[in-house]
Amino acid sequence: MMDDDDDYMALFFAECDELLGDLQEHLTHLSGAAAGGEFDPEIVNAAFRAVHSIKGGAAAFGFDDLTGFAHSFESVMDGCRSERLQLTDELAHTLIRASDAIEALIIQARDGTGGDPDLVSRVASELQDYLDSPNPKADPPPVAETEPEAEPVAASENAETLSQRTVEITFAPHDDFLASGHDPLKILRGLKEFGALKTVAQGSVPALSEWSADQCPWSWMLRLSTVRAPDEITNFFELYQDFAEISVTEPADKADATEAPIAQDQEVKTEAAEPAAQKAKTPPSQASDIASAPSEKPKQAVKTKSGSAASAAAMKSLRVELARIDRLVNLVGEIVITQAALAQDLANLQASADIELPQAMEAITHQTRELQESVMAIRAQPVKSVFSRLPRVVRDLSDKLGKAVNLTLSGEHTEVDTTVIEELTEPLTHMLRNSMDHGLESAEERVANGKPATGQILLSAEHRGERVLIRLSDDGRGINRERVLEKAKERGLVGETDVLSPVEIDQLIFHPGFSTAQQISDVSGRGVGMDVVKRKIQSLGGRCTLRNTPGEGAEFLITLPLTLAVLEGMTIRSGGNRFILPLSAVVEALRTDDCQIEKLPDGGRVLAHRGTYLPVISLENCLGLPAAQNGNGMALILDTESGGLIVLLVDELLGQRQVVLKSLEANYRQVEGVSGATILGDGQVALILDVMALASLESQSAKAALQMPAPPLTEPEGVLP
Amino acid sequence: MTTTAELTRSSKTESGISAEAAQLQFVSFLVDDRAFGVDIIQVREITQWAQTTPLPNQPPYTRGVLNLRGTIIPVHDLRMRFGGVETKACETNVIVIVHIADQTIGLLVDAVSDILSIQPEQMLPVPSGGQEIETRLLSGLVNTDGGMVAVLNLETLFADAAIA
Repeated sequence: MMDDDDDYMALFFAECDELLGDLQEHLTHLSGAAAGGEFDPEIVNAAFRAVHSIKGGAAAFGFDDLTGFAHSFESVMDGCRSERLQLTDELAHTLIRASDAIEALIIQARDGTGGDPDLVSRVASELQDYLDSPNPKADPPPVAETEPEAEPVAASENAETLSQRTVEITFAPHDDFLASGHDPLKILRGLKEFGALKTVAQGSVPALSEWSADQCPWSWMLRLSTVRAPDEITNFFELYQDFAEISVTEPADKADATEAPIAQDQEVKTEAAEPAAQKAKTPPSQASDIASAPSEKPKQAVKTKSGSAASAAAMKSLRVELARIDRLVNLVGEIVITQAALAQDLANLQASADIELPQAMEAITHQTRELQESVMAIRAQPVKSVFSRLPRVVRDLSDKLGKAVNLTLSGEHTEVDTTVIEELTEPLTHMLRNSMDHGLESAEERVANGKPATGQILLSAEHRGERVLIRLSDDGRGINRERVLEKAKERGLVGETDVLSPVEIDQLIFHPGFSTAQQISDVSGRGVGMDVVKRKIQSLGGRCTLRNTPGEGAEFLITLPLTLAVLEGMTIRSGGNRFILPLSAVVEALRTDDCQIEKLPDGGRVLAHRGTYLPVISLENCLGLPAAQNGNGMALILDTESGGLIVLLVDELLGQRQVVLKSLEANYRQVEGVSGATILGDGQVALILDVMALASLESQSAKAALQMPAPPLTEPEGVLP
Repeated sequence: MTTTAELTRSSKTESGISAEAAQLQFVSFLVDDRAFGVDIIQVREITQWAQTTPLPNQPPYTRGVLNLRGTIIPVHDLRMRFGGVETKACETNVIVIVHIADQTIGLLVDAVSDILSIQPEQMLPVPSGGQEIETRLLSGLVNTDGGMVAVLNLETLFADAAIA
């Protein structure tokens, strides 16, 4: 029992997290509306609903503080949507602070500690002020304008306050009800979704000899406690109208509702089923009257509900523990491997025995792939859940730093694996802070430089093949290369006499412990910096690069794999071993016979390709692997994403396939030049090459080769007796 | 193998012998005709040699990685670890799969010989006069009828191969 309670509570808090996210997003829109944007009453409604749900849950679990606060929060918002309170900038800010406070209260309720009593009491009194002294609109807008706004608000408020009406429904199936494929049980279950349902069945079962299985001998008296609009119920029954007598009535007086039905029950019980149906014949007109009279209002409510906020809420969803999905993902991964093994065996068989490959093999290849994609799709989430938190970070910071900033988000609906999403919040927040603190200038400085006083930050996400590209750019001063270099020399990261290219200088900001803020501020510059961001992104299999235009701004580019579980790969052979290259990195494949590889004086090799020379690397050099016996047959042009194109020499291409990523770190450690491993169809392990690391390994080994012979490998220790 | 380990553990608890009097059990195996042992609790299973996939830029005794039912584990050549030549692995060689410090690794040995059950006092310290390295890599010596068995201290043996 206790476990159940705990489960429900965990569910409640999980829901709270989601509701808070929604709430904060809606409030951000509202504050935009307060600042002169378009006011959409549906947003107030959506925000109201979120707080209302939190209140409901909190009350059920006895979190009185939370319930109380949510109540006043809700009341203020109610004032807003009924236009009793005008949505001012100030009010919007109060609402946003209230969302912070409610978050603090939820954390307090969940963890028993923490919270921020100061904030809560301060905001609570602010809310109370609004409730006590409603500032009626100074000049009410013209009627024509308020009409469409006020109507739906009133209607949905109606629906909200109509809570727990009792609706009487008589439901008497015709003889052809069952024959036409309907199921009374289904209807009853469907009705239960509307609210608490009390059913009284009437009629008697005839003797078995007279009973016909395709006729329903019963009729039902249903009493439904619901918050739904009357026409929703009528709509529900519309489908069955031709096959049953249905009447929906609503006791006019609530007080009567409890007594009248009982009396009616008794009345009906004494009557035969036939008269009951007869009796039910009169109410339908009444019911349709009820349905048609107020239908103007609810219809509009429905119309506005079909707006973005409501349609998202209407999507059915199922909450599943992540561990269960992971188990499924792993299993599907194994199936993919097994399927590949099977395909390989069959191909071998075909080669030796000259048989036709069964078509089913083709089908199962497609199906496994589809299965895998579907499973991965379960884990995918729009980046919106991360992005929607950021406007608040910007708002808080712009107050703190005294910089006006306009954050533009785009591509919030780009979907990425849940794990990636979870890990993304921290680095993105950090980068955003960095941009605001170091990147953007003060308003005066901006104006002096001929820029608009308000800084612009753009955050976007988009799919790029197998990866997702996240771009964070600002129109600030960019990175001051002189200062970065000066600082790096000061800290001994760079030798005094070293000459660095601009790009190399920019890369210094990713060096551990590097921070250019002259003052350590509350916002950023705590000694942890971009290196942490970069490491985090790399641990997700991503890359973080920087485009810096001093004076005009900086742009951070993050590319991440869509999923951390599978990879579209190209299998290659080099020196007797098979490797996987991420297909996204492969630009082009050439036969080495058809191209010219030149040697440079420093020992490096280059390949002339479409008018440029590309550096050539081989796995023998950078991974210390045995050279191929027959020489390298193929040259692959690879995109390192940050270091331009490189050419990798391999013995042969074995094909393209989806591989399931396995970690080397789990039982060993990270290996340079390798981003992971996978299991091939024959059960052998193949390493997945890290293209970017390969390029730097090659240049290291080339340098080492010039200076001195390669250092001996680790000496074995001691000899035993 | 796992079953054996479990049996040992349960029999220990059932008999209720105090920790001091409890028996120690080792899986012993041969490398270059010398006997080594590892604590049976650490041994997960013993499997036949299978072709490993070499890893780049690793110590020479790290023979590569192996697919153990979907998990990738590294395999270390015990002979090379002690300064010997690379084991010409064939089907008669076995890999002892052990679990140390939350990682599962494989040890390439020549053959598994026995399971030793000894009293704790039969475990003799490694003489300190020898090479320092040996006292660090071994946790003790055991005298058996068939000769001396050197008990490996797996934690230090591959400490440099674990996460730095």
